[in-house]
Amino acid sequence: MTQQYKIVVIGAGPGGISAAAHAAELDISHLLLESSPKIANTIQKYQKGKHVMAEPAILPLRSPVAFEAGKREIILEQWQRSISENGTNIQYNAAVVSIKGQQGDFSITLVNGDVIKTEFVILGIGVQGNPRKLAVDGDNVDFVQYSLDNPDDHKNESIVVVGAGDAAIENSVVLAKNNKVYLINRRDEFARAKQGNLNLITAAIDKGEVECFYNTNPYRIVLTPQQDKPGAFIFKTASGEVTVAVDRIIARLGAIPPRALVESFGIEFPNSDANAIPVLSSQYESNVPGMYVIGALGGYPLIKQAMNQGYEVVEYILGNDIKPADHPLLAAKLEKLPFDQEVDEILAMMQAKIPVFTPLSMLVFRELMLDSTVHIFSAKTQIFKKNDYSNTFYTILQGNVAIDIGARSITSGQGNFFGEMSLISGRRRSATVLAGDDCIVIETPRRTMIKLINSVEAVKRVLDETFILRTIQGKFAPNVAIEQLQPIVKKAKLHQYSANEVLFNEGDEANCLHVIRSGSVTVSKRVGDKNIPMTYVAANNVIGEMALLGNTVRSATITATVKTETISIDSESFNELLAKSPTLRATMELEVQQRHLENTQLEYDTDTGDILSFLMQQGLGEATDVLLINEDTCVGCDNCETACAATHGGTSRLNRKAGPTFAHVHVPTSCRHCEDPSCMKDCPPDAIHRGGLGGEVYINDSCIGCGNCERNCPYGVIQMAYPKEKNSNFWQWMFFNAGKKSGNNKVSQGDNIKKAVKCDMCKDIDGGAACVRACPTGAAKRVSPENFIKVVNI
Amino acid sequence: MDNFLSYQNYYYLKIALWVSVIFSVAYFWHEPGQPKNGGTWFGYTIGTVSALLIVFLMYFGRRKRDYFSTFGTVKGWLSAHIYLGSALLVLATLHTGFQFGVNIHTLAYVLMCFAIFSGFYGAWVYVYLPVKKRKNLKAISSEEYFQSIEDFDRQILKLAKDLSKKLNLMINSALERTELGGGFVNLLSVKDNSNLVVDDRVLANENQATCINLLVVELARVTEQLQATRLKKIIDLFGSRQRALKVLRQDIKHNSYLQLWLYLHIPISFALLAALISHIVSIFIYR
Repeated sequence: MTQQYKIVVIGAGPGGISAAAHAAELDISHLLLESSPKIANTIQKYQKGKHVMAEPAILPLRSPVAFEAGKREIILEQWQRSISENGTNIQYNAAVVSIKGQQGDFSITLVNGDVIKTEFVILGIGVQGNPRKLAVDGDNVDFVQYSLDNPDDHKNESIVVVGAGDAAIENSVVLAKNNKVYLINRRDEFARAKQGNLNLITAAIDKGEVECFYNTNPYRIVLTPQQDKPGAFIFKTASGEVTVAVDRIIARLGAIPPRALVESFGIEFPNSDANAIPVLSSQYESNVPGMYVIGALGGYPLIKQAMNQGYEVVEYILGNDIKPADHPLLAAKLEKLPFDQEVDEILAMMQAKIPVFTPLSMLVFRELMLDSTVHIFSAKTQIFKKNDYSNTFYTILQGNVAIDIGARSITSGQGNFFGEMSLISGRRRSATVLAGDDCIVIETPRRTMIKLINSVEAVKRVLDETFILRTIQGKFAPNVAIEQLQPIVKKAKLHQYSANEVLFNEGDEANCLHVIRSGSVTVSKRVGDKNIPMTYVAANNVIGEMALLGNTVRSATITATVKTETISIDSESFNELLAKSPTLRATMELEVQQRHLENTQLEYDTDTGDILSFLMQQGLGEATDVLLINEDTCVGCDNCETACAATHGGTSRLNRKAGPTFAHVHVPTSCRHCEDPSCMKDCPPDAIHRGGLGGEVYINDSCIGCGNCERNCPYGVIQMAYPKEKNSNFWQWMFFNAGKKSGNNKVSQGDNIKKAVKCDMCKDIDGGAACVRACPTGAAKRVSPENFIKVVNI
Repeated sequence: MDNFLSYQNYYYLKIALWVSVIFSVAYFWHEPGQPKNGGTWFGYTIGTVSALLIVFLMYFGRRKRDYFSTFGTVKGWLSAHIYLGSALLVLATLHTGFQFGVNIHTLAYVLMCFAIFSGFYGAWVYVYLPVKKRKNLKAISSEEYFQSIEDFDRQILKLAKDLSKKLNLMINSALERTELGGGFVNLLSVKDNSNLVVDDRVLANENQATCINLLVVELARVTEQLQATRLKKIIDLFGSRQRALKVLRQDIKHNSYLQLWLYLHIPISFALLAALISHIVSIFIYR
């Protein structure tokens, strides 16, 4: 049977619902396809009663379907009602297998073999992917499910859970309280599970609460209508077939990422990066004419954005060139500029004037401008200072700026950019920048730029080349003209090293030096038969020049502590640089002498080396500022935790007892303010920022409580916490026992949600880190990795 | 490294020494024309200074909890608290003019001495115990020890299921009746009151020794190889358990000692404050 429509929307998420409802409103023949049995699959999977936020608050909603912040259940019910009331044509359990054809004549094949004809396709399938199916005979029965809504709904059932990941373990353990649970693991261990879950499941299996079958594969599901259980699950273990009568089968086998499916439709991605976003026009059209992409798949993870796009995309298909919902926001942003032009014209002019933005599609640039700020600076204004810890990226729209590198300053004019060094390395600013006359610059946040670098190859290339040029100029030849450096820049190479990879070994022949672009390394020397780390070198420093200057072999082994990128310069180029800058050799030789001296001092101090390698094992190589506790002076009074809680709304952001110890150095669970913070990578409202002089990573008030950062942090330093009441008055507490002790605040009353909290390095508190100031014995210290050696040597 | 004693190159120690020396010299130089006592002009001066010092020393408890304060660091305050508290001993003694009796005045002085000496003990504990505590724990946290004991227990129970009923009961009772901590005396003396039940008799099981002994006796008896390996494993596990328990008992002791002195120091200080107020009020009334 073949059906014919004008618009088919694939995916009944917020964007898809909004698009289909708008089509229904306009009486256009349409169909909304949803692979699961319910709308908004991702939101259905949120926990019960979860508060869903409506960020960004300033963006108006434009959709026939209502949406405002509220409880998950209310929002879903509202959406369901909206689409049934306005006659939206939706088909559930309709996973799409393929799309063929072109604009005006697409053929969509569904999983059940149905073919649907349509003129236009709107893809709003999100990035979660579809759950991997059990794929055994009889798996289409209704007691097979791929998620667990509410464990309390099940009591005294016989349940088989299939899978070995965190979801399977969590489900098994929680269900085992009231049910008989079998767990089927295809392998002989739980290799993919988090440590906490691994402990949970091992304990549950040992206690006999969960019966686990290892090396076992699901084989067949049969219906057993005559017996008291609805079906039986047959699986193959190493020692033969086993049959279990079941009420329910829960398969937690992970999800299939949607990219392969999307590519099979003909949509192209710019590169193989996992976060890459398909190239779209300003009207959300992909490279396949007639096929549109909206929502998270197109790079818009927030609900409201996706709903607006759903509305807009239908208008675009109808040929109505309406202004996007963000238009007024952009207009306000560009209002103060001295250009008498429309928003679109100004944007086009910006792209034309600034080469690094020229390759972007109009849509991507629009998004970038929404995140960016346009500054009009008066002459001599300081844009940023050397050693500032900001990491935004600047482009010059008009006028020029003066970049102060040491002895002299370089003028950079219209169309150029600056600030890319800190953007890439995550380290402090390497120069001071002052505004020139009539200066207009665009400041773009790091997150937006990183997204751009990952998705637009041309931008990455330009930034890389400039980075190399400026590094070489800044480090070795501040007085040499750029043209003269070009041949050296061409020969310089970018290298990537994973954690613990060796850059070069002691005794190797020296043929190049490295400038560390991001990450950090340890320098270690062979003493006896052990490699003893002697020092730590952070990004933006030079290594390997010692041997090059003396024409000898490597005197130490260099190992990457975390993922590290370096720029290498071969000895020939280096000699050219030495020839070009007569004073360079003298200054570098002085540095080398200094380092030789330090090295000899440290050489036989193996304790320091051991502690240093312990700290590196804890991932402190990517830290910029970390809390360490000297166990030899810590009296365990917990005043650090109390101080943290008392100064931060009642919730301590550090856990003194937790975390590893080596010799006298204890690393408590507390934020280390990583160079390239994992927590920042996937924050839908962009609430995590890095700033200020300390370079602290902090979460602002726009947190929506999604928990992504908590999951993404490899060090477990972010918690989700309810807001708490204000501190009680000390004297009233002391004399009348009124209120709560400091740091012991009660959870606030009312309908609050858990939000992410973490150390913000007391950026808003006079005097700095409260934990350190409150330590009576001086055991707590905040240290940056460059100073580890000093702290460790006590 | 700078600790609370060596804070800023012993800044407060130097102040305390100077203050003590100056007042001592003044004491010997001062000739009131009557027996030296707290009622002379010099006695009043030094008494006032001492009373103010006591108020300052007691304010440390507030400063420590004033987390927004930028008035020095808690470490600096502690350093001052210790050294100026020591100086108080000299000043207050000079204030007495070495006249003691059974009265409120001497009570205040005695309480002050108790407060100061309990403080000396506290400072000693703060310097000495953390190192001992760290060496005892061997870089493993107490939580990890508890977890590992839980782990040993689980493994022991699993293995014990296949032993004779009598042994199984004995092992179960040994696990259940293991005691850690307990009362005041137990905490400080590291006494182990663990026991076990065998043949309906309760036997002391200090350091798990009885249990291990019984298992070893049993091991010598068994002939079946599987049973023997099982028993050996259980004995090994009890051995590891014994070691972990020992470390934890020591750790609990260290933690208790780190806190306990405060339960003397603070109430005594408040008692001193009360006695001090009575002392001051009474001398003005009965002058």
